[in-house]
Amino acid sequence: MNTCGNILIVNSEEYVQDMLREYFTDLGYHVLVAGGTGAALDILTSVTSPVVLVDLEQPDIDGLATVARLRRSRPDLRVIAMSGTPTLQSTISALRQGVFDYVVKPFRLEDLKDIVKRAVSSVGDDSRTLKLQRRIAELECYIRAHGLQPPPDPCASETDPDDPHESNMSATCAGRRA
Amino acid sequence: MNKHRILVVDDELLIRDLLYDFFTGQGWDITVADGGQKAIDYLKNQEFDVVLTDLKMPDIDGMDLAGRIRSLYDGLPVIIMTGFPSLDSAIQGIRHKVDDYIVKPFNVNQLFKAVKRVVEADVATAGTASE
Repeated sequence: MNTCGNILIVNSEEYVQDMLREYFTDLGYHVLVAGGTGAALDILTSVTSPVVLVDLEQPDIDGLATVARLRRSRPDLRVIAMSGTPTLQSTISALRQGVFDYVVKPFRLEDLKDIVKRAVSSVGDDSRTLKLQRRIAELECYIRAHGLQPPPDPCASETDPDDPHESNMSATCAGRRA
Repeated sequence: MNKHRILVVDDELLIRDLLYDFFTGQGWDITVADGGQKAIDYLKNQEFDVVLTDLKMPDIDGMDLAGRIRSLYDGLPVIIMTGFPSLDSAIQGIRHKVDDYIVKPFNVNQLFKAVKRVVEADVATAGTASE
């Protein structure tokens, strides 16, 4: 299934998990949830989830230690740290660990959405193919979010041997696939 | 082995002199600039392994300089140093992909450790990327 991207939420509080899962699922993301560092690392072994939201203050988790372990295991991860009691020292520690962004709670979900979008689109190399793949994913996301019907794929339609445009259509499709 | 090349940017002469003597003593090739604009001029003409910049400067401040470095020389490590640390500027540092944030007054040996850590991490990353 095509989605806007995968997001992994690392948070031990169920209501926060539910709120973020619902919000980002509605936006078209595939949302994974881990209640702790170990579960997050397990998920990351099998799922490509380049964007991770980590709450730095959770009852049973040392958020900064979680960020450090995640970044050590997968340096390509875009980690977005969230904190309700930010301190200069914890922010500097997060900076040294190379977090993608640092969000102070309470925050507007709209702002978090923009940060996640930036994080997703910064993933991967900048080859033309990957840029096009990202653009296609963005357009699919837009179509879903606005309840639109995607245009029919001319390459997938059945061919009519009597259609005088058939040869041109095939050439166009071949060109698109190339 | 080639010398490490560092660009130090600070409007305080005392800090520039202190760091010039220290890094030269460590065998580093150091260039000093008294402001952000001078630093940008140096960056156009010379290559560096790391930029160490003060935050508050009269012309172009350190965060603005970091932002320009990210857009023009993306892989070049940047370290901010400041006597006026704040949560906001640290978060701005994260958003500009600053590699470290050092609070003044600092112990010069601790600063050197931080600079070496950033340069060595950058060399390791470059090695991985070229494999």
